[in-house]
Amino acid sequence: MSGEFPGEFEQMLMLTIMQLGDDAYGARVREQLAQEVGREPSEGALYTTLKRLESKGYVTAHLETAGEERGGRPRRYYRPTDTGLATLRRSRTALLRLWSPIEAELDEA
Amino acid sequence: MSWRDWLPNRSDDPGFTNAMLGDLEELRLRERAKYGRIRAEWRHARRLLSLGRHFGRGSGQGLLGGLLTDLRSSIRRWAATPTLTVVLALSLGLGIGASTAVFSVVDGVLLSPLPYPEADRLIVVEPEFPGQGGRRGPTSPPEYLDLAASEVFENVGVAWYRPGAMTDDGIDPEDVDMAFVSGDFLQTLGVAPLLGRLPAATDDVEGAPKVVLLSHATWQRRYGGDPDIVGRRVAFDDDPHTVIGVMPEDFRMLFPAGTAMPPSLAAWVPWGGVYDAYNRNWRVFTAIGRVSSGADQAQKKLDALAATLRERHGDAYGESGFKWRVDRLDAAVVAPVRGLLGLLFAAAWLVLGVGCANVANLMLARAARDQHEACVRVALGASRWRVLRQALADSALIGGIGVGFGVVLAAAALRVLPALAPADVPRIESVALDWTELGYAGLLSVGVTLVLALLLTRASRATAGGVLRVHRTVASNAAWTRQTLVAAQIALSLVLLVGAGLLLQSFLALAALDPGYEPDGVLTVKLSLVDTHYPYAEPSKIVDFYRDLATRLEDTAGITHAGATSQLPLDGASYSLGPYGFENASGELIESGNAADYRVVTPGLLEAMGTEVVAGRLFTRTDTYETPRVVVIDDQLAKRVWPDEDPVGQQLLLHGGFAEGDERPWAEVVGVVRHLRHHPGTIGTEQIYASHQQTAQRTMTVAMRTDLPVSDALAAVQTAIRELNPIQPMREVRPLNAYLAQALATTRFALDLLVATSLVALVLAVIGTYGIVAFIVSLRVREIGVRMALGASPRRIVGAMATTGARLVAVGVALGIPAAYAFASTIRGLLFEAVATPGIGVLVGSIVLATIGVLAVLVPARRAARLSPVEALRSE
Repeated sequence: MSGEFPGEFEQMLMLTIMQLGDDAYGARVREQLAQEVGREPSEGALYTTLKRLESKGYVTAHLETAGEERGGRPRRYYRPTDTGLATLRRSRTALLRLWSPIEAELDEA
Repeated sequence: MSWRDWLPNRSDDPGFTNAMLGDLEELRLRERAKYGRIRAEWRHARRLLSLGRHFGRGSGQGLLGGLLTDLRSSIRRWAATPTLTVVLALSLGLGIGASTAVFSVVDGVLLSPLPYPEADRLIVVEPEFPGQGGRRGPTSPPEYLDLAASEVFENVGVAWYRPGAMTDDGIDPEDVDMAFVSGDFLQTLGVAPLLGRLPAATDDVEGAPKVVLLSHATWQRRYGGDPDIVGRRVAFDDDPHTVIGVMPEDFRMLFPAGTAMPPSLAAWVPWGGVYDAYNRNWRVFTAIGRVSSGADQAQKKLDALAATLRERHGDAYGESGFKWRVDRLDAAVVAPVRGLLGLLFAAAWLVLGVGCANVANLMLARAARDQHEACVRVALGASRWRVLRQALADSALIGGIGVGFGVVLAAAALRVLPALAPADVPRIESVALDWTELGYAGLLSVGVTLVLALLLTRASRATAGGVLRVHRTVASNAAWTRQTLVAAQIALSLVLLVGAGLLLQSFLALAALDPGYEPDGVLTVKLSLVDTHYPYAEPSKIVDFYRDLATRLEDTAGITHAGATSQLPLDGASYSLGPYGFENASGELIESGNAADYRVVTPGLLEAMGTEVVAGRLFTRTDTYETPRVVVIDDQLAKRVWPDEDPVGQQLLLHGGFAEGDERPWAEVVGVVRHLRHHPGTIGTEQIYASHQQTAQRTMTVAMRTDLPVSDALAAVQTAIRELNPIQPMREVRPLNAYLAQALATTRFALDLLVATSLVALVLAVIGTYGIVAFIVSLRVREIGVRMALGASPRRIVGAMATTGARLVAVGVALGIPAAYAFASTIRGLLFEAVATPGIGVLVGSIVLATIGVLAVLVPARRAARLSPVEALRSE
């Protein structure tokens, strides 16, 4: 597990979940993502990825009952785990290291 | 399988799924406020689909999402083989289109009930005379009273077709079709009037005020839809009648074909005669009754009644064996076309059969090709269900296209058919492609799709190992099925070809039949003299009118002969058959078994028709009421009755219709003419012509032989009529040969349709044969390569391939011959009697099919021979 990096969409989802804090459930995540990066993922991709994050142990989830606006269905709230945070951090470090020497070059161009 | 299956799989993680669906619901509500209902629902549906694709059951996909994928891939696959696709769609479409169109016609004409309430309880009652060659006739007024008193019917009425003239002041006189009806006739049919009332029993007595019921069309056309028409006085034959009502727009008089009753009448008038004052053999009415206990019961009771009447009125019925024949009205109306439609129905089914065989065959060939692909997919991990589903989607797509094409074709055919159909097909104008027929097409499509899918399941018998040995397995497994299908196709086509051939023979025989007169260069026009100006009490007025008309016409330059007849040859069926008697050598009166077709003609008519005189003379103007009664007979009667004597000068006892009083008159035979064809398809009836100058009739058809253009001849006859009686209208101006063409129209129509269907079947069979041989060749490319590499000559390759195909054709033809014979014997009744055996048709059909079949085989066989061995071996 230690050598693994999350994929781009996985990273985006985790970052959004962290931004949302206690309000991170599916529909909200989707909305926030759309607002921040202008990307509207397909439902299939969104939920498959959330499921994958769970199964990889990057996030945990718990159900909370909700009102009529959801047809009586519960909300599933997500929260990053320590493993998830560690992986995210590792990924960030790696990316920053790779970026730093070429950042100046990129700016000039 | 339920709708839940295309939702995310619940059993995996119900909490996750539930929350996910909750999210969708939340979004949906929010978006409704934002985008409006329709767009929000659309986006919601897309989300569901997207989820279905990712979370559904079965091969990792939801069924709905999966179906879309399957359909898309099916479209790609069909588009990749355009020829195959087009041939398949055409085969299905032609089959389904032809059968749907014919079913629509059969349904509209035969199956759907007559437009009268409880039409299945209506029966038509016809007097029949077994002792006079089984001739039938209309009902006489006293017989109507017997029927009405019999308690067999809830209601029984009679009607008599009669042309009349509408002669209101200030409106052009108009010749119209109308009917005399008894007081209860229209009640029997059970149709209520649109305005006013129906005639009642009190209107149908002598001296009752004259009333008339108008048709919707007449009311609209002639009286501008006058809302106050009821109570208005209108003139028929210059005689004022009070309008009592108007019938609904869609009311039709659907009568048996022999009764000469047109379906659209302008008016109905209560007869108002004294029924029991008339002779029992004065036959003019068609009787229709409503029964509660069925036609068989009625027949039994009427048989008993007829027996009583025969006894009581022995003087009137004599040896005729008078009885009543009872038929259900609906059956009697369609009787003349039942056989024709049945034949077409059979033909349509045969085409559908050939089309389906084609489809099955081509699909099998395709399945064989696809099996390789299927095996590869299974080897790569696709489930068997996934592979089967693809096959289903393929069949559904081609089935849908075929059915769609078929429905379009059927709709087009139904637009054209009524125009092509002969006029004597009842109710053809009301035939339409409706829901029943669409349901029929739908059922067909489901059936066809299922069959196709079944065939394609072969493709799902794919195994990973099968990749390596696919071609061989398929070639041996499916070959038998495919070859059987091709043979069946050829057999069915042969049946159709033979049917078409027989009908063609029949048509040619009918067309070649000598009519006994010269039909070209004769113009005809129908007249019914107005009752009030030409009453039967003064027959000389009627005689004078037709004589003066003929004189005026013959005085016109360009008109050589003119005359008039009670009925033209081939002008519809009629009740003109009647008995006659003669004395044999020992002075004995022979009446039994004598029936002749009687016509009343004026001097000049037989000349105008170009009838050939065999012996004696034709009528002259000196044969009058004052001179002895004379007749002209045809050569058939002459040959049968006086085989060894000169018929001229002999005496004939005429039927009761010629009687003045109770005595049937004797008449002297003054001439013999060639037999005229009065009815299509029949040769046998003997003919008697009576002189109009001794038997005046108001309703006649005038015929003139002329070399003038039609417009000039018509102008001449118009002028002549106007000079004689300015208010006398005329109708049905037609050349004489138009009647000949019309008589052939039914056979012609059947022939056209059957030829068209058999050509379709032939094309389909050729495609099938070609396809199967081409496929066999493609399977054996490798073998061909090896054989050619080992030195086989192209000729031997062609021979080997062609033998396979020729065997198929031979088996098909062999199977088809007995089937064709069976078919021929079932349609024998529809054919003109001169057509003897189907032998020639079978022979010609077999040769045509074999030739075309061998050609279809040779093309792919020769292509096989042109392969270079290297190419052939490289092909796998």
